Amino acid sequence: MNQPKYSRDLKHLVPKKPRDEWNLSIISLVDILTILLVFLLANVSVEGQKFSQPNRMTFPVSMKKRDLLEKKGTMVVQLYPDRILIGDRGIYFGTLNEFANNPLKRTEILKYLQTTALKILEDKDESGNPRTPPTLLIQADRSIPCWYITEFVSLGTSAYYEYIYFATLLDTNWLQHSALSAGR
Amino acid sequence: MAHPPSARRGQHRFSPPKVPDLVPLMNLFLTIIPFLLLMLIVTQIAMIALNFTQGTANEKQGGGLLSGSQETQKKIPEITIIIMASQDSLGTTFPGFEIREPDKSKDTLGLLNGYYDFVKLDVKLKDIRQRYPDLQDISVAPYDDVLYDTLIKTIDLCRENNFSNIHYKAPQVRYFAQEVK
Repeated sequence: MNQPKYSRDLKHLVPKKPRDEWNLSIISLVDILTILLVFLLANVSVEGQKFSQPNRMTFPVSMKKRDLLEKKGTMVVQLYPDRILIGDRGIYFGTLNEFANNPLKRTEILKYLQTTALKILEDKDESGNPRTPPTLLIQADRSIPCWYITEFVSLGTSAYYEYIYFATLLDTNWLQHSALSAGR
Repeated sequence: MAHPPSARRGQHRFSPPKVPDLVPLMNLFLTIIPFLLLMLIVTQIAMIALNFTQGTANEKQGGGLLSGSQETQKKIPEITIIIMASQDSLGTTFPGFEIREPDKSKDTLGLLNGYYDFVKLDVKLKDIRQRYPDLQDISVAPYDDVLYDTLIKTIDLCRENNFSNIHYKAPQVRYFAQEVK
């Protein structure tokens, strides 16, 4: 009867057998994170953000990818369902409703586009020609009516923009999806 | 009791290696990496370019690539795809596409189960491509109430059928007033 009690009392005196613990070396983890950090830093560019899909905006889709002619002389126009933002810094130019009903708003936008286009044209090379042609990149939500697009295309051409691009998302199978949704 | 020098050396040999404190570095990494992952662009952005030149591409090239005379250049038709979204009271517009070719009756494509019939439009464009293999120019004219998505899909289909110069047109709406006597 006393044997188990005796052994229990002396338990703390018996050296414990070292357990086989699985330890993750923090150095290996740091190595992994360093590699991941380098990879992410190589892939993330601030310039890319300018041409990426803005938040709360859904681009229409297209099957082919086409790069911008020159990124340097590009002015971005963002048409959200509730607001218009122009330029890299996203200057607020009112709502779509204001744009449609207020001629002063349209004049204001035209003047801004003209000023920026002239600024792009001022940057000339050695032979006196503009380095980059003024390019307007329209980023619009897929639900925007075409009237606004037509107006902005018209404003762009009136403001010396030679090239006008529409930003889209690449989806090579949209025609097949369209056929399925139409019940073909 | 003092140990001889050789015994002291032996004691130091078994001490664990010094590991630098990597916890602050880990904290930094764990902050930076989610931030960079948030910034990483996963979607592929494409572009659709518009052309604002007047006339056909062959005219622009000044006949350099084509050996045809002016008469053959004149034969190249101006094809327009009109996109409509609603029906007017007179029945002149309807939701769907209308393809206009000179010397040909209007080709209309209505909605299919409430959706624009892009498959049929693709077939029509392929047919036009077969009839005019050298044609590069096509015009797209969306009505004001057509959604941007429909416009882009139509332009994209034109590009898929090798129409490299796509002209953007706004449809002209004309009103005729009848004199009441």
